[in-house]
Amino acid sequence: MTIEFQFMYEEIHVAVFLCLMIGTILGYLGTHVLKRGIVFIDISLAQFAAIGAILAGHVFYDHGHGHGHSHEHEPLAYFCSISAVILIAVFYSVVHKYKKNISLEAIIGVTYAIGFATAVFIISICGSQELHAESFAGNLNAILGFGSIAPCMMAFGVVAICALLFHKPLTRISDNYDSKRESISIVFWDVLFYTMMGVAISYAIVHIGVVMVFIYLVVPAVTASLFTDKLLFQMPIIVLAVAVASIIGLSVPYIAYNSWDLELSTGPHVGLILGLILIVAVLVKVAAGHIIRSKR
Amino acid sequence: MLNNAAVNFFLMQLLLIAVVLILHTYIGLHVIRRTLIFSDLALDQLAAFGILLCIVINSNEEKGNLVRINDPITYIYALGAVTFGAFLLAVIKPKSKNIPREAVIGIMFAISLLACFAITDPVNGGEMLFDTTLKGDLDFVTWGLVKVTVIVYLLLLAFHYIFRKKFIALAENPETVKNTWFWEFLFFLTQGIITILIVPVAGVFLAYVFLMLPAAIATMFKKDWKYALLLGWSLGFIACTLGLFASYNMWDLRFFDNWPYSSTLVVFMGVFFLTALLIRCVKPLKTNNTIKGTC
Repeated sequence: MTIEFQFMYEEIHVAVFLCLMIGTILGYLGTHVLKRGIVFIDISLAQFAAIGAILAGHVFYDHGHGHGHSHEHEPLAYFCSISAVILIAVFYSVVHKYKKNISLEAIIGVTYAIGFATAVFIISICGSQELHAESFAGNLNAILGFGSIAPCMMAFGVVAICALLFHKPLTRISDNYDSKRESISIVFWDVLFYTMMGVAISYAIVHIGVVMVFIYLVVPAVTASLFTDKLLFQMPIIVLAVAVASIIGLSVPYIAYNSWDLELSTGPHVGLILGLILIVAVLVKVAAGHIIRSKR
Repeated sequence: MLNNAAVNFFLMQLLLIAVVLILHTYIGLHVIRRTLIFSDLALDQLAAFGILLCIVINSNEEKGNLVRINDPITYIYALGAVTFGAFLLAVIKPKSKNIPREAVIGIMFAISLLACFAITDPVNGGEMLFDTTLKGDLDFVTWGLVKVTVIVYLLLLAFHYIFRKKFIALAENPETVKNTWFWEFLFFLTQGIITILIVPVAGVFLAYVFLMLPAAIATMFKKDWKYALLLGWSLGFIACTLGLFASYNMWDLRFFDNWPYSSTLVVFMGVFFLTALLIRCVKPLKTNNTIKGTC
């Protein structure tokens, strides 16, 4: 067993805690995202956060450390990521007010692709980093105790407090997202919402990768929305789905190692288990519908 | 001065881009008007999954039997994967107003991306294969591939022209179309087939951008399908040509040294898109060019 893999299983409770924290808060934000119909907002925000980190790496760190050194945990990299996210948040909020003939989701889709290409472009012309598959699925194996996730815990704490304080205005806007947007205060609440998402995403992608952030944001919220529209009942379903998927998904690589000597990454398995939970939830929903109809 | 080989290479590239952009812009107009924005990305990723699955299953390092990304057998696996995806996209339509169709598309995309990662994770050189499906490889472009692509695209264009009323009705008045799921399946299958041809060369993201960006620019200015197609294709072709020349440093400027192929094309198209968005935000659209239900 490699040292990294061994650490992972000595610190598995930290990884489970991290997944639960990230999954629960992203799940809450996911309910807003579904109501607003902007499903891909997080992938786009994550992409721009990554651009901020890449730029910070090239501008502020590469001279001293040499090429190929990872800077994603450096404070200045976080600052640049969050700045990039706030910029794109303002962009989406303003464009949503003035756009014509095109949905916000289409603009998000196009800017995401531009953001991805820009990241590859910067990496290629500076010639210092490769595009790693790991950046998509994360690397929970690299977690070394609560100290290594402290910045992420603080960021999610701030987002959770904001969510509690501003729940009512954010819900009111999410419930009527496509109605006329005359008031400038709506732009302010939009910027706040996207910034909350951006901060959460910037810190989460370091540990779980872009795609896992997307999965945690959308899949538990969709699973809960299958059964109820009320947030009070949605949240327990979200927490349960996240907990089951995280525990099983983190166990799969351990079992694979002990049984077949295979060292697998953890992220994809958590995501695939969440996908399975959604399929089971859909089947339960369909079966329940049949039973109710047959009783009538 | 360009030699014959370079002229041949650029002609091949420009012809491929010109042909690809016609159908991609047209399909993109549908995708944007129906807000199925990420359906193409989901199908692109499924095609990549088919390709990677084929390589993982059929390669045997000990026997020296290695399958390459553009081997004919990979296209068969990719076709199987996108047909399955097109079927799912056509039949899964959530009834709850709180679950947009884009959520289903997004989940399909993310799960197939994770599945790609999961199957390449234990394989030697798997990460490089995974990266290649995302970024594409220009070395896969041959005159043979260009010919096949042109023929398939022309056939698909003819198919869409013959059944244009059905497909346009899906975008404008879906309630008037009988067997909606079947026509949607054919629509997504078309998207899937063009995906299979373009992903090995352009990669998942450039393929997605070819579909979305020219159509997004055109939609902001024109409601009529013909004019929107013409505008999208023209602007897309100009942007791609500039991007292609920049990535090969045709002007021999130091500024353009080491510009990568696919992302340079996207960056050029992105500049066009952002300019169009700025114009549209500053200058209001005429009422007769406004499309209902997209704002």
